[in-house]
Amino acid sequence: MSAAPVFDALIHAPGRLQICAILSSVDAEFAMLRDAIKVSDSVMSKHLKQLEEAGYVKLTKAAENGRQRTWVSLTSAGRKAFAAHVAELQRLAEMTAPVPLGQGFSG
Amino acid sequence: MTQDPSPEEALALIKAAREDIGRDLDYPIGWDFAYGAVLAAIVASQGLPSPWNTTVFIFCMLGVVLMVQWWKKRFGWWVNGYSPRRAGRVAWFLVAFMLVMMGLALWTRLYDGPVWMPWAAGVATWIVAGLSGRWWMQAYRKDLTELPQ
Repeated sequence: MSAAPVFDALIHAPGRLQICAILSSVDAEFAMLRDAIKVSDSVMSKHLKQLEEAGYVKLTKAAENGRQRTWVSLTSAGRKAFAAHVAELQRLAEMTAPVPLGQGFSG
Repeated sequence: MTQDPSPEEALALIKAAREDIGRDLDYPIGWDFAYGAVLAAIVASQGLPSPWNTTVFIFCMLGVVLMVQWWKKRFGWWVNGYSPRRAGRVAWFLVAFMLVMMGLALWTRLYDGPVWMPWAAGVATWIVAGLSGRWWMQAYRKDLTELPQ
C-alpha cells in the first residue's frame, strides 16, 4: 500500500535524500554510506545527527577488532516519512509533467 | 545539485542512489554454498532422533549468526527486512520449499519413512537454497530500480 503524500523538508536536502534512499534498501555502516554519497565524515555526521534527532534513523555502535563502527538503519518513523515524501514528490512530478499529445484540451 | 531539488531531480536522485547500491550488492559464490549447507543441515537434521535434531538445529542457528556477522564486517551493509515485491516472493518460495523438505525429513523420524529421505531432502535444499540466494539478489536488484512504496 502506498503512503499518503507528505512533503518533508528535513529529508528533501540531497544528502539526506540519498541517505534515506540507501537506508530504504539496506542497513549500512557509516563508512559505506559516506563513500556512497561522496561526502566527508563531518558532513555525514551532521546529516545523520539531524535524521537521528527527528527520529528517522537509529545509530548503533559496535566494537570490531578494537575499532568502533557505527551502523545506521531507518526507524519505522523514518521509513514512513520517507515513503510519504517519495509519494509527494511523485504527486508533484505528475502535476508538472507535460500532457502527451492527443490527451490534452480538444474542442 | 541545488539544496532544494525539483521533484523530478529528487526522484532521479533517489532512483540513482538505490540503483548504485543494487550494483554494489555483490558477494562471493562461497556464501551460497555455505548458506545452502546450513539450511540443508537444518532440514536433514529433522530426520535425526532426539536430542541430535535439536543439537544440530542449535549449531546451525549459531552458524547463521556467525555468517551474518562475517557478512556485515566484510561488506558494511545488510539487507533490512523483506521486500514485499519480487524478492519477497522468492523468499516465500524458499520458506515453502524448506517446510516441504522438513516435512519429508520428519516423515522418516515419525513414521519410519525411507532412511535416505532426510539426506535427499537436505541435498535438494542445499541446491535450491544456494540457487535461491542468487535468484533473490537478482530480484532485489530489480526491486531497487523502482521507487520505494
